[in-house]
Amino acid sequence: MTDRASPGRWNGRSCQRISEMSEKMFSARMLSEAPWIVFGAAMIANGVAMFLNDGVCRDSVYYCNLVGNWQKYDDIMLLSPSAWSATAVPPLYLWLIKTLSRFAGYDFLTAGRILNYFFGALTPVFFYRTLRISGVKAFLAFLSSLVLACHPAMVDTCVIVTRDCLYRFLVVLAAFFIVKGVRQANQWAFCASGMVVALALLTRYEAAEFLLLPVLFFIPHFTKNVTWKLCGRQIALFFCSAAAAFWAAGCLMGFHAAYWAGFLHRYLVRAKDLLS
Amino acid sequence: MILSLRAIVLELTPPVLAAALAGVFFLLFRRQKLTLPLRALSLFFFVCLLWRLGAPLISRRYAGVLLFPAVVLGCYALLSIRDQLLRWRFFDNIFWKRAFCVFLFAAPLGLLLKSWHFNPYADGLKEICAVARTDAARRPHASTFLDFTRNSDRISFFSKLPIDHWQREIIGKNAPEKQISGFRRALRRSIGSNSTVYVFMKKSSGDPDLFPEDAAVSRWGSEKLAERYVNRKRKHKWVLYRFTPKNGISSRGIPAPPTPGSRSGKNFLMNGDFEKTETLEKQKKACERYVAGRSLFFADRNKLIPQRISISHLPGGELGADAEIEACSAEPLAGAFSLRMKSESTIFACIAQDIPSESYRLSFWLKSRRPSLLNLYAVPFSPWAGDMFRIATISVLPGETREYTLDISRDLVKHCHHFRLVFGLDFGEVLIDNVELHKSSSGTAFSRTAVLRPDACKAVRQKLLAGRNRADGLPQNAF
Repeated sequence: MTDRASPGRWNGRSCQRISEMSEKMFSARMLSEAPWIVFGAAMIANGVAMFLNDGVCRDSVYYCNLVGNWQKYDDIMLLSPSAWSATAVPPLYLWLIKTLSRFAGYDFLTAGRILNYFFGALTPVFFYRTLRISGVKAFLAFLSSLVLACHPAMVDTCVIVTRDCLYRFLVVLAAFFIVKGVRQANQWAFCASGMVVALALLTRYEAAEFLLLPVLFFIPHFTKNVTWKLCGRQIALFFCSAAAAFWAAGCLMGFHAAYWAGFLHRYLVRAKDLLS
Repeated sequence: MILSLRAIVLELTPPVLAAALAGVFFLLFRRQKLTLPLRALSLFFFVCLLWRLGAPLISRRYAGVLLFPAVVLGCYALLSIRDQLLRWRFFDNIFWKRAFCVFLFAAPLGLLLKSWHFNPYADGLKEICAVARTDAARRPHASTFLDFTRNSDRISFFSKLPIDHWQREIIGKNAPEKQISGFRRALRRSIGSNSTVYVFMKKSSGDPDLFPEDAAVSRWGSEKLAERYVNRKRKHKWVLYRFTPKNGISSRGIPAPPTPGSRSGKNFLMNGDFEKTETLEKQKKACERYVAGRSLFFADRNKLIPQRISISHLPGGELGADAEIEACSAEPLAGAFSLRMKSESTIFACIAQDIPSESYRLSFWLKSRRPSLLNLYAVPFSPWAGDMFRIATISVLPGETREYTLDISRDLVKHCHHFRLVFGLDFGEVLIDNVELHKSSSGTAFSRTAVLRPDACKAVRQKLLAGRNRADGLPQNAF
């Protein structure tokens, strides 16, 4: 599966033939262009799906109504007509729709679908890059990203206006940066990963599970004689940048104290639901 | 846990999930050594999988993050199978070699074709909605739109009409009797007082006729306006029905002059004239449900509302930023205060008084400041049945004060001991006053409206403002 893996008893003639076959199917040049091929495939898959489906479903209408209310009252607390659901949907995706709609003049549905198209096409590309940096062989990475680009669950989320497409993009991006940070010992990549996870938190509530990711990365690190100090510094860098990005994005989108309270309350409610 | 598993299977699709499981098997069997990032990522996704299996998932999209490891593992399984076949010299035959290559690329293509959902009948629902919209526009009276397809949001998006959502989808020959009886009940409730009812349904070919022969429905004629296939399987259809009264009874006719003295006996409502008021602070329960700052409505706790009016949280009611329910002293219809309701979305004001289940004649004064749609509901209170019965729907245009009179049949609320009256404003701004409820022997649902003479209104108002306490002897029937 990986470049570093020792084939062991799988070595020998068969593996040679596999590589020969792979080379015939995919020249080295083709695999070097894999991100572009995957990007193109995702663009085509999502584009055709958008052409064939209007993307109007319960969630799309709900999201468009939320954005409409936000734009109408210019207050994030009045995002939803009913007060209890003001924090039901974290606001990043809605804010992006609102901003795009405001500056480009699209209606909310079109703006949401354009965003989805963009993020949906980029997700497999970053997925491919993440796999490659992780040490996965080029052909396996290429095939995986191609399948991901064509998977109904990915295409469906691009067609309808929901935050899932953005969330998946952010998830892959966070994994990409953190893998890059670990493999290349890049401090900035840790910062970037923290910031992306913060944006994911503002997109879906379950992104909180990604706060576990840096910790998990350093459990295997301990076996590699990495010092506690270095691990602590990198984890601190991750969380600090996440907190800073969360706060900055909140200010940019117009949060106020009551919304913070509601947002955190929502997290607690979710946690309680999960535990019960 | 079973529910979560189903959500995961639906999200990942069965072939990808099967391939991913095979990938796990190959990974363990071949004892592959993973790099550090892959080890950490595998551990992370394993934790994600565990909590998703352990907690019920509301939507299958919550399992979306598992797609990434599943896809990699699935592809790894495919390549491992290829390796195994190579070892068995399976690909010495050029046919199988090519067949496998084709399969490798056919898999994404197959997924792609599935994800495109090609449907030549995709516009069916849009067309049905257009028919409903055009037909409703031709009719002078307000109409009710009932949805039994669980597609209310799509229908309201396409048609721009207010759609009453019904939770259950009724479809197929084997639709449980409970669902069908619920459907009939909802239909009876809606057509009890409205001039036209449109029903959106999704029917299987060969479905039995769901419209019963009972009295409430048979007084109304049903007509199939349009039907379209749902998809290319041609198994299901979108169907639009229109119900109109056969005998011409209408809930809103041309207003007749008021008939003084028609009301007699005890008024069951204690603060029907809304003269007694209290601050919003008193409604602690309602206020506590809303954290301060979340809704502008509860921001001003000193706002005056009539006593015995509770800001109700009945299903479907939404107190938006623009919602107002108050005791209005500026231009009251009678006395010093009237009940004022204003909103762009449905809000409810409940008269917090248990009324025994009998036949009644209800009358009230109503004035609107802009086009409004007001509904009157009876909510069974004891025992709580979880239903709301619509007594009447009134579309009001701005103009003079009108008196509305209607009969509430005991049949409507016979299954409960008590009920409560609820005013539900769908949109607009209305002033309500002099709500009176008298016992009546008649049980028909006929209602009529009457224009209040402006001089009568003025006289009543002057009398009340002159200091005569209405509760201390002024006749309830003011004219």
